[in-house]
Amino acid sequence: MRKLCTNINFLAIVLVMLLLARCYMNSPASYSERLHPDTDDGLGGTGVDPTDVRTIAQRMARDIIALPQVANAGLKPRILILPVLNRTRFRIETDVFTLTIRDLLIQNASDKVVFFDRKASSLPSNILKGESEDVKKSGFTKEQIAGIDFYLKGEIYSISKASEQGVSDWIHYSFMLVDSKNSDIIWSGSYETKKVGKAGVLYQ
Amino acid sequence: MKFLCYAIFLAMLLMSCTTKPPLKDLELFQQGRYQEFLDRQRTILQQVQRREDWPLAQVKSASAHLACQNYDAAEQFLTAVNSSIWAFDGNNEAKAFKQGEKKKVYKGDPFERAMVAFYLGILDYKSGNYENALASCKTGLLSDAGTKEERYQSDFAALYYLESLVYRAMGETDNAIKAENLFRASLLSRITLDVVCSTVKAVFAAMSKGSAQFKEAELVTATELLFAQLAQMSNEPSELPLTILDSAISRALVIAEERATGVVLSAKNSDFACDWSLIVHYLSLIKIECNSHISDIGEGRYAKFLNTAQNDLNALLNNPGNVTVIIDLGIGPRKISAGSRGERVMICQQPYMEKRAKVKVSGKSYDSILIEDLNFQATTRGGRRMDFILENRAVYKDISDAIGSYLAVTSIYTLPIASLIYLSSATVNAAADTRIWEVMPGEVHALSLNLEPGVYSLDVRFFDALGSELPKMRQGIDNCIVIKDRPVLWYIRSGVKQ
Repeated sequence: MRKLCTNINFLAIVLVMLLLARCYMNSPASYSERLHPDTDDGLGGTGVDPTDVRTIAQRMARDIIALPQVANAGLKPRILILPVLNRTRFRIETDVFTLTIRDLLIQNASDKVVFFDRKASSLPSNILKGESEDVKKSGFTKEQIAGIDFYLKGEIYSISKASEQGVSDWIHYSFMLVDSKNSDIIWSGSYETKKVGKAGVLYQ
Repeated sequence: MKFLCYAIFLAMLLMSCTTKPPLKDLELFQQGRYQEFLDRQRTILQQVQRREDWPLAQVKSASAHLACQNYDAAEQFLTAVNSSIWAFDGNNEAKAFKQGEKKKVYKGDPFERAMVAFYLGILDYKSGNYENALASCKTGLLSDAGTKEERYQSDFAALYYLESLVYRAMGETDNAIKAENLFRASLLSRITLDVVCSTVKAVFAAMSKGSAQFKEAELVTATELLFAQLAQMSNEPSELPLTILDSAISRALVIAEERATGVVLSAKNSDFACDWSLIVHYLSLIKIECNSHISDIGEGRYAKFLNTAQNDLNALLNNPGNVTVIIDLGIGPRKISAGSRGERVMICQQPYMEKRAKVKVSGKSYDSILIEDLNFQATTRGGRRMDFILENRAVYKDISDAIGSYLAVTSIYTLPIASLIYLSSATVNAAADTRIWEVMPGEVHALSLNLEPGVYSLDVRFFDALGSELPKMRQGIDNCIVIKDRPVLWYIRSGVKQ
């Protein structure tokens, strides 16, 4: 009986030691790593990711280059990229879209299109805010618009839902190429994402 | 030798008398010692082992920078917090679930997240980035809406107000009016709640006065449960207070009864078992008591409050100016733990003197108008799933400790088993997370001014509930610039200026 008791006590001590050792085991250390821009960073969030920006820019650039008005134009058409209108719930630096699209187009089609630098221009602010339809009403001169053939406009909208369990965001990106002479939409393209973030029980 | 000992003892005694304990963060903030406050937050942000507290240190730093009008620094901190509170990365969650709720990364309650969005919104609005200001409003309203039975309708009035300002700045008058209507409805619906809640508080105070048989923690929980139900009631300001109160008590009773009977394990655990049955008892009492206080909730009082609030809102909204002044008053709520294992969280209002502000510009004086009450937001946050888990953990610890104690004294042979049970109990942490953005304001006020372009000086004075001025808090802000055709926002935080 005494031997049994000693064994139980020994077992208990071993178990206690194991449990204590488990408590002091280290959690994974901090680190940083280099990722491809299209790789998921694993940090969560339901907003706009670099992957989305790059995918959208690639699609838009591909579509625009294939347009007959661009591909078959005698002279290189001049495009003014207007700021992207953000109506989502996310704070976005929308210039990142226009810059990525512009860079991709220049890389792949510099022999087909020319881009107008809106930051270096003296275009009136209402034009730069994307209100290009009323070009004539805007007050900017014919000389200024003379060289621009198309405006590239973008808008981002979202529908978001939330509950205690998490959030869901459907984001719709829409881009269009507008003829500066008559405001005709000669091309439009869209891209959608839907992301859900589920909160763990600790955060509900 | 004896003399030397006495001398050392006396010196130690004197030292213990003269050494003051370090001031708490909140005290530093209230005394306007923002630099010291920021240094403390910086220390936390440098400690990797306190990573779970980083977002809290960041929002507190943002508060201090806002109070000092360092808007760029405030925006940096708020942007960092905004990305971390909306991440669903799951990092650290398993560890925090096991080791205790306080180990989780601080993301704040919905009203704290809404406040982060509000500040980001006013900073974006100030800098003319209206699209991002609108985005912040939407995010803040979404975070607040998620708490109320999954309704896509928030009651965070300040965000609706900011949204209306942004829409006006963007030239979207229709949307601005829609946001103003939601702002108005959100604030007016609280008049009903204010009248009802003050009655409920009075009834509970009368019930507990001079009677040892009422347990404070249970009374507070009963009140919180009732207030949470009240907040979930219809937002229609036209609804009569009595109707709302009656339905809210019935709903609270259903929940309390479920909780009282649902946990079988707690039947023999006196502390836990009596909690919810007591709460049911208190809610039943209030249902009876409220019938005898009908005159307090009477329509006359309700109508008077409603009328005053409507006049205030008309003054703010009917003639929107080109200058908006946002004034933060007081100190927000704090959380304290309750229950045998600290498993419950109680929201407590922190006392502060300033209740009104007056802004003097160009020789004219303007009264500020309340646009958000953070104490109201905190007390109507509702329950969480984690609350149930923590309560069950507390029960588990109580029971395992009782069994362990029994086995430890029964026989030497059962001692190892008792120690194992104790150990398993010790590894379970039932304590609730009581971290809160303690330096957030208690109230947000606003006023709208119509000023010609130019440079102005603001004289801001604060008053207590009785209308007496608090001279130490008086603030003067120079070089406030108004530009033609551009909305302007000025931000002021009440507090003692160093």
